[in-house]
Amino acid sequence: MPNVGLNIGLKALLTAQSALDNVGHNISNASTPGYSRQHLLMSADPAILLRGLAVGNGVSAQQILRTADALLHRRLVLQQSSISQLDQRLTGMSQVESLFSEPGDRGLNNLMQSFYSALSSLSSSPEDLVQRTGAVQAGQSLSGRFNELAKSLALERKDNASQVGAQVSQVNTLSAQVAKLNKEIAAFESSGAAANDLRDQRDRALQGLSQLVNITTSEGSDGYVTVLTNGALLVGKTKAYQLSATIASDGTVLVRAGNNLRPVNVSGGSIGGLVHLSQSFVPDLLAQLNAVAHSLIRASNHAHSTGIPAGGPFQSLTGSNRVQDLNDNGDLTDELLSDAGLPFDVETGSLYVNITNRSDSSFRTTRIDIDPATTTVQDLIDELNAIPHLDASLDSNGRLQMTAQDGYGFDFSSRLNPHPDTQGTLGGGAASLGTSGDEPFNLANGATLAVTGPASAFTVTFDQSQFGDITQATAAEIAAAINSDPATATGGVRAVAQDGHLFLQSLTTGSSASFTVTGGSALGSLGWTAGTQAQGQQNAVGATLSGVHAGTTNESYTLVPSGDGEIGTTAGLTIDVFDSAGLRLTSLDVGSGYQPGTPLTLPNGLKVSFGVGSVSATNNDRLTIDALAESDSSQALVALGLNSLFTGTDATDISFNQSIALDPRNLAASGTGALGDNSALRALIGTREMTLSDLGGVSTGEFYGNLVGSVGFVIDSAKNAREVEQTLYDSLRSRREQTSGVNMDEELVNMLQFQQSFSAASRYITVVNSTNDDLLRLI
Amino acid sequence: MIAIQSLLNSLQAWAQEELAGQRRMLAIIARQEQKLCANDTGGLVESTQALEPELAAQSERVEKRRRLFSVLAAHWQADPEALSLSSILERCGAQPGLETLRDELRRSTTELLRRNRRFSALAGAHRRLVEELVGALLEARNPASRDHGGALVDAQA
Repeated sequence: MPNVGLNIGLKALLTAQSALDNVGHNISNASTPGYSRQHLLMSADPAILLRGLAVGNGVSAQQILRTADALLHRRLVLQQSSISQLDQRLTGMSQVESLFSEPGDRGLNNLMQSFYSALSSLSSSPEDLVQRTGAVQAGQSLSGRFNELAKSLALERKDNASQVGAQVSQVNTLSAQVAKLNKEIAAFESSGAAANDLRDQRDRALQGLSQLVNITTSEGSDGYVTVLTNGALLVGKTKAYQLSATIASDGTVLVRAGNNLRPVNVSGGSIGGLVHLSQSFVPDLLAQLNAVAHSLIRASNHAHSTGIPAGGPFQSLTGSNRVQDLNDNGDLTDELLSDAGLPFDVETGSLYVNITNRSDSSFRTTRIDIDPATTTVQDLIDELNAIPHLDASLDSNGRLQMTAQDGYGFDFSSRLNPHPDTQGTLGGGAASLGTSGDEPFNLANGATLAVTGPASAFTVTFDQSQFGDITQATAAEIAAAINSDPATATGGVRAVAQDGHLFLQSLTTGSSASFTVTGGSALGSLGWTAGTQAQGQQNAVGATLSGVHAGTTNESYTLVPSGDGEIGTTAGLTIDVFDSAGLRLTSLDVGSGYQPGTPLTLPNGLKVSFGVGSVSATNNDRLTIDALAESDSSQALVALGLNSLFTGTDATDISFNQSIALDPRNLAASGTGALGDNSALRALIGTREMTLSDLGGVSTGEFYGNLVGSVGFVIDSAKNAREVEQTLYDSLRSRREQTSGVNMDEELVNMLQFQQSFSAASRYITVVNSTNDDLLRLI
Repeated sequence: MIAIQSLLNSLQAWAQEELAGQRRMLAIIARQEQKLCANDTGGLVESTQALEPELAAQSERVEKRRRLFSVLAAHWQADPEALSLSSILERCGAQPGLETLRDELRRSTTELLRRNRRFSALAGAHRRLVEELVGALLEARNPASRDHGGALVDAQA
C-alpha cells in the first residue's frame, strides 16, 4: 500500500506539472498570431486490486488538445479573403480616383468648361486672332488631358496586372508550406497524438493564402487538408500546385493552376481585387472615358466640319481618317462606306457640297445622297468629281483629298444660296421649256426627240445603254443623254434637270432666243406636244433669297407660277410655294402692285424677291430652293475626318487638329462665310449640352460627371462593404479568441488564486499535522 | 469499577468519533489533491475550507479526550500526560471493542498524516511552479517582451 500511495502521489505531481507546463505554453504563445489555446486532457487511471479491494490509482495526463473550432476557422478564412479583396480594390480605386483630379483645375470637367468658355468668348468676335488662339490652346489642353488620363489608366491597369504576378509567388510559397505541414501533421498524428502547433501553423498558412486568393479547404480523416481556389486544386494531400500569372496582349491577366490551360477565375483575396481592378474597374473606366472622347470628337467635328474658316472656302482638304482595305483585295475604293474601317459610322443621309466662284462669290450647291450600305468609296469620289471645278481622290494613305480648281473654293456649309436659280428655270433669260410631270419617265429604246433650235434643227435618239432603266428614266439621265449628242449644242440648245423635271433651254438669252419642239416618239412620255415653242427674254426674273433658315430639318420649297405673266405687271399673277411633299404652303402675290425686288415671306424665316421679267406656267417654269438645317446628315465628313476640329478616335489618341493649331484662322467659326458670322461656332458650343444617343441620351459633360460620380460611388460602396466585412471579421475573431485565444488576465488571476489557495491550504496542513502527531502519540 | 467502565465506554465513544472525523478529513484531503492536480483553484479553496469545521470538531474531541484522561489518571493516581490508549487497556484488562478501535485509529491517523504530508509536498511543488508562471505572466504583460515572445513550438516535440 505505501508503494501504491507513493506512485499515485508521483503521478499526480507529474500530471499537475504537465498541466502547468501547458499553461506556460499557452502564456508563451499568448501573443503568437494564430495560436490556439491548448488544454491537458486528464483521466483517472484504472483502479488496481489490493487485498480484494479496488483501490484508486490516481490521475494521468492523456493528451494535449487544441481548443479550436474548425467551422469558425473556415468562416474566418472566407472572411479574410473578402476583406483582402476589398482592401486591394479600395487601394486601387482610390489611386484611380486621384488620377481624375476632380474637382480641380486639372480635372477634365474644368478643362471642358474652359474650352467651351473660350469658344463662347470667340463667338463674340469670331475673327479675333487672339481669341482664336485662346480657343485653340483650350482645345489642346483638353485633348492633352484626355491623353494623359487614358495613359495613366492604362498604366494603372498594367501595374495591377504586374502585381498579380508578384502575389502569385506568395501563393506558391504558402501552398508549398501547407503541403509540407500536411505531411508533418499526418506523420505526427499517426502515433495517436495531436499535432496542435503544426495545425496552428497550417491554419496560419491557410489564412495567409486566403488573404491572397479565395480558397475552400477540406480536411480528411487522415489530417490532410486539400485547398482549392475556384475549383482549381492548389494543395493536394502532400503536393502543392503552382499558380502562374500571364498578361495577355490585350492586358488581360490570366491565372492558371498547375498545368491546367484553363484560366482560374480568381475572385477573392488581394489577387481577386487586383484582377477586378485590371480586368473590370480600370478597363470599364477607360472605355467610358474613351466613349466621352469619342462622342466629343464626333459631335465637335460634325459641327465644325460644315463651318467655314476665316480664310473662306477651302482650296484643298485632306481627311484625317483612313479608308481601310477590309475586303483585302488591294483596292481601297471598292469598300462600302459602312465597311471601310472608318472610325465613325457613316449614316444614310445627304452631304451638300458648295462650290464657290471666287471671282463673284457665287456658288452652287450639290447634294450627294449617301447610303453606307450601297455607296462605295469610289461612288462618293465619283459624285464629288461630278461637281464642276472640284477634284477628289484617295491619297496614298487612303485619306480622301479634295481640291478646287484655281479660282474656286468649296465648303460643306448649310448657307443659303442667295441666287438659287442658277439654271434659269423660273423666268430665266434663255428660252426654257420644262416637263409638267416629274421623273421617272417611261421611254422606249430608240425613242426620239426632234427640236428646231436657234441655230439648227436636230433629233436626239435615246438608247437604253444611256439609262439604268430606260422605262424608269430620271430627268438627269435624259438631260445627260440629250447633252451627249453633239447636235444638241450645235443646234444651240441644252437640257437640264431641276427637281425631277426635265428642261430644254436655249444656250443664248434674250428675246431673240427661241426653240420649238417639233416631234419625236418621246414627246408623249415627256408630256410635250409637237409645235410647242419657248421664247427667251431680255430680263431674267432672278429670284433672290435672304434670311436665315430657322427650321430644324432640311426643307425644299418649290416655286411654281400660277399663270403666264410679267412680275409686277400682270394682274393676279402669283407664285405658289410647295413643300417637298407637294403641299402648297403659300401663294406669293407678284402681280400688278408688286414692287420687283421686294422680299416676300417664305416659311421658316426665309424671304424671296423677284426682279423684272416674265414667268410661264405654260412652259412649266419652276424653281426648287434648298433650305438646309443640316448639310451633312450622312456624317461622312466626320467619318472621313474632313475639316475636323479634333483628330483621333478616343481618349488615347484625341488631338487638336494640327492645321488649326498651327494657324488658328483655320478654325471654322462661320456657317456662311460672311464677316462676323459665328453660326458654326454656336453649333459647336451647342454640342456641350447636346444629348448624344451613343452616351445613353446625355451630354458629354453629364456623362463625364456621371463617370466621376460613379467612381466616388463605387469607392463609397466598397468602403461600406469593407466596414461591414470588418465588423463580421472582428466578431468571428472575437469568437475565435474566446474559443482558442489565451487570455493573459484570466491566466494571471488563476495563478494568483492558486497562490492564495496554497497559503490557506498550508495553514491547514500544519494544523492537521500537529493535531494528528499528538493523537498518534496518545494511541 | 462501574465508574471506570463508564469512563471506558465514553472513551470508546470518543475513539469512534475520532475515527469518523479522520475519515472525513482523509476524504477532504483526497479532494484537495484532486482539485490541485486539475488546476481547479475554486475547488481547492472550497475543499480546504471544508477542513475548517472538521478541525474545529477535532479540537472539541481533543478537549473531551483530555477530560476523560484526567479522570482516569486521578482514579489511578497517575500523570494524565503519561496515559495512552494502550496503557489504559493494560490497566483495565480485556476491552476488545476499544482495542479494535485503537488499532483502526492508529492506522487512520498514520494514513491521515501521510496523505497530509503528500498533499503538502504536492502543494509546495505547485506553489513553486505557480510562482514561476506568475513571473512569466508579469513579464509577458510587458509589451517590450511581448514583441519577442511567442514562436510556435510543438508541445509534444
